[in-house]
Amino acid sequence: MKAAYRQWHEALSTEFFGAEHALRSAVLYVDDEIERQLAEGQGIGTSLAQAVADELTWSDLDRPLFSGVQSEVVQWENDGSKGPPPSLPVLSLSVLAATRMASSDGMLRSNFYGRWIHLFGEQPSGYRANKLQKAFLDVAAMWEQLDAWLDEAGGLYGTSTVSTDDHYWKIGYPISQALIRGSDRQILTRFFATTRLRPRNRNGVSGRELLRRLCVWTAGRDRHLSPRLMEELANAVGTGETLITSLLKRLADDWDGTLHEPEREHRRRALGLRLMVADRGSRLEWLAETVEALPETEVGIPGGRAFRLREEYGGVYDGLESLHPSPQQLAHGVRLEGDALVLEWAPQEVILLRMHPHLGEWVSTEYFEPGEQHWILAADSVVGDVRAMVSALGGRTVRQAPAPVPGWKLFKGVRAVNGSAFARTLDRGGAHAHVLEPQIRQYAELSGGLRIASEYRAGAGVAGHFLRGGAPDLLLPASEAADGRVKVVLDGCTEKLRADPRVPFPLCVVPLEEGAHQVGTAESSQVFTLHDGLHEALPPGTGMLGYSCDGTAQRELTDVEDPEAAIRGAYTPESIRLPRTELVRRTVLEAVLIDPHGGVRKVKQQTVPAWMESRLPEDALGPCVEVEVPTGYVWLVYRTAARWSVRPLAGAADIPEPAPSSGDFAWAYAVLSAAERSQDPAWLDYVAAADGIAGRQGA
Amino acid sequence: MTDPGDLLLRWVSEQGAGTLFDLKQGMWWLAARHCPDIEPGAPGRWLRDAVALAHMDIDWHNRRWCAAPPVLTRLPQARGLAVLTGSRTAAFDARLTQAVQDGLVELFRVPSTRPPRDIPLPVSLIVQFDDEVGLAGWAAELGVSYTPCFALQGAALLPPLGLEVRTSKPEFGKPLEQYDLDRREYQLVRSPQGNGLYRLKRRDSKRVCQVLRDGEWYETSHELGVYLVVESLSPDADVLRWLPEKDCGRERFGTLYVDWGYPLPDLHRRVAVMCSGLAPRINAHAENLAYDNVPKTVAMKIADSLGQHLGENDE
Repeated sequence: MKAAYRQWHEALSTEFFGAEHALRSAVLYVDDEIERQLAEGQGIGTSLAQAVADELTWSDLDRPLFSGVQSEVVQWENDGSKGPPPSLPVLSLSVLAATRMASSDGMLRSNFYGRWIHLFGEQPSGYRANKLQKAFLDVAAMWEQLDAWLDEAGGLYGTSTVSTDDHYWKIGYPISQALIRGSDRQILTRFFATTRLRPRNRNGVSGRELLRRLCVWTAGRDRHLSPRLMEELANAVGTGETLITSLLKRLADDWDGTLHEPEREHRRRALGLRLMVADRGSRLEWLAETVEALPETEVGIPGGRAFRLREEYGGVYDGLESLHPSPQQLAHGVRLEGDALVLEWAPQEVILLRMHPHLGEWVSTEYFEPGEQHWILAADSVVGDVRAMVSALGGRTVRQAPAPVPGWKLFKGVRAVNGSAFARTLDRGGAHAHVLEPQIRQYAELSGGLRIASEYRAGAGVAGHFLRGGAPDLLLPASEAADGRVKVVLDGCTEKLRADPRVPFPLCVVPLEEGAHQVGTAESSQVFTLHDGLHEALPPGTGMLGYSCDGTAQRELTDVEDPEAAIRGAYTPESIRLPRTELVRRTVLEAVLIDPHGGVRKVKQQTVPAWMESRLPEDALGPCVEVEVPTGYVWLVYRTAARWSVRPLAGAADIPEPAPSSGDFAWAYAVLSAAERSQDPAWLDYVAAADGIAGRQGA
Repeated sequence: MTDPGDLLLRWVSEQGAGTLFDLKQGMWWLAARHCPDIEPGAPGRWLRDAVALAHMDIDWHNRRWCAAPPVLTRLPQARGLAVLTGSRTAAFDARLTQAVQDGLVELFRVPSTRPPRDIPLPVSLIVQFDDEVGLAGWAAELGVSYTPCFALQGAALLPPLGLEVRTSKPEFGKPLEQYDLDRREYQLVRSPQGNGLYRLKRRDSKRVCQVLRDGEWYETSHELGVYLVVESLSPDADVLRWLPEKDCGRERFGTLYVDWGYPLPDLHRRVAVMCSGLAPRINAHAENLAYDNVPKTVAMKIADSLGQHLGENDE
């Protein structure tokens, strides 16, 4: 190995895998400018290409072209893989070739080898060009080795971003490094922050979803990403897994939540601001979510006011209340910077909002969740387009209202209830359709549904337990098929249920038995269970709240300590004595209540009340007399069309001896009407007493 | 079981207890499938009706709920009808079906009508009986509590209106809203504008209602707060009205009308609903709710307990 090659190896090792790169995304980006800077900085007189070319084995036809470097690599491995591999200059040269790919015709596969061969000063066709192209298989192996070495070092030299895809394969490795310049990395950390990615991408946002959001973020606005990256973005949209999606995913998975600012030693955390429409649409506020391990910090408008932020309930900072969102801020964005934190709002004309689970207010969000309700805040200039777009979703619940900021309107109740109308709206596209795009998933997921037994969920390998009739929706992963649809697999059967992955598949429309079910696609699936019910007795928690009673009920509901002494549902402690109720389910022409002391109370006949006729089924309205029995009355005597009847209103032992006065003729008449209708000894005593009064009258 | 109202009650019953957030999430999800025309606020209205129908109890302040135990209770003077309220688990429904097959009582499943903007309510289970002792025995066999007549018993337990728990005044500079009785909505105010009902968000992010009276602040709920304000500011208002039935022999029974904007507190509403076992009728034209079969004594107890007198017209 010649001196120049060694010098380059050392310079590249220091530049890209030095101590300051530990635990950060490592990108081996080398273009002409960087090559020149490195050569000048390190005083290397030979170009990188020449240094590599000098290592090639052209003379021995039996040996591979890179055999010199390969044997150095073997030696390096045997010595314990200390420091970056000796292949580093070769790899860097391949990146240089990738950066030289002309932007006019994109990064076509053939274009790379042209540049690669040209770097070695060879003619584009011929024996040597052919050999250089073939030898790239060995270079690809060197890339894989670099990737493995970075992984095995556990981040000591940085975390690998070496990626490729089916389309590029071998040349994808250098292209993956050439795509992202230092300036792009800085901008991408801003993008990650603005799209509110969690550090290390803990929520597992997919590469395609990142790509979708990056395209939205860069649409119509120069974010100063390199033309090469922008071109790759434009080519990658809608084409499934690509180099750029896997690269974005790797960068996101490694992102530690800080801005890529070498001059500040990567200390500043960054996060996107959210916009909150509070109090049913009457107030607008900026909302900053808390950043881990930063309970208190200060940020300010550059050259302006400063704000002290303190962590409060719901995972948000308190302290931005006095920064009222203005039309100017919405139009041009907001950037609040501090020593430890940068908060940013990227301007947009259409803002999607969803109910925040803890705050109970409408808060801006990154993606549409079909089925859930959203609000949309739209600038006046685009209100017409947005209205047309949300109307196309169907349903009658969207309402337009004034927004709490001049120049904007609020659309409330935006939801995609109708799957086909939703898909049509997305397909129709338009300048703002991206707002309605749901998250692009890598795996099948279940969402919604009526969950029961959530306490059994964790670690059982089951996504959830659901009530039958309330089976969840299936969120499908992005499709690779030409028609953009995916096949749904249910319980091992690949049904011909080809579904649009943007629209949740409603499993509740499929009649399913109780028990476990597996659903998803051939590549990824989820298990869930369905039950009509799980509890033989009342489920725990039932009746735990109530109004404790002590003479009267408490005004507020509390945890119940003594279940017997609290109103729970329609249970009430017995506080008052209610009169006994007696029912006669026949057409009664007249009825009286009789007490032992000569008292008679006529029972009024009642018609069926109007509310019962209008609200109850006809069967419930049959003939009936409901008699409220005041204390003291012991017999009910009544007449139907056929005959008189008598009914005791107390147990035999509780019916006192009759004690009427001699003038209680009405009492006697009532008793005698039903004299023959009971042989109850107590009744016979009453009949005898009535006879006495009647006989006296007769005398 | 596909009827969304009954499915929701089954879901509530099978869970036993939980948080309002999870419950509303599930309701929105279900409504998206079955009720395309629902409007914002529908889950909240469903929950208030479910509380009134004694299917559940809700601690709105702490955003949690529990299913109520099943109870059989008579309706006052309703020609031998009772209502079976509370939790309806799958096991309970199976036992009920068996008990009805075995005779003794007749069961009617009666819907309460709601407009398309709302989520349908579960059917009311109305039971027809011939003999009260038999009814109580049937409840015991079914394994449910028997309350002789919740409407009458609950009315007797209603607490008087009053201000009890003092609280601190709202933090200066934080958003504050005052309830406007005429507009029936809260309006932002810069600072407290005298006696009235206010709403604010506390540091723990809970939205609370507070009444300001004579310089002192008191904790309250929205419903009680409204009546506290009506009692002190417009004592002559008749927001609760009772009209007797026209049928012969039913002069002591009637309909209780409650104007929109003056919602009854949960317990009062439950007492009124348990007179018929059915949710109140919505009179969109007259902008009030009508509770059927309310005995005059019960209506008066509700009014007394809210510091009101009963008016006697239905407009």
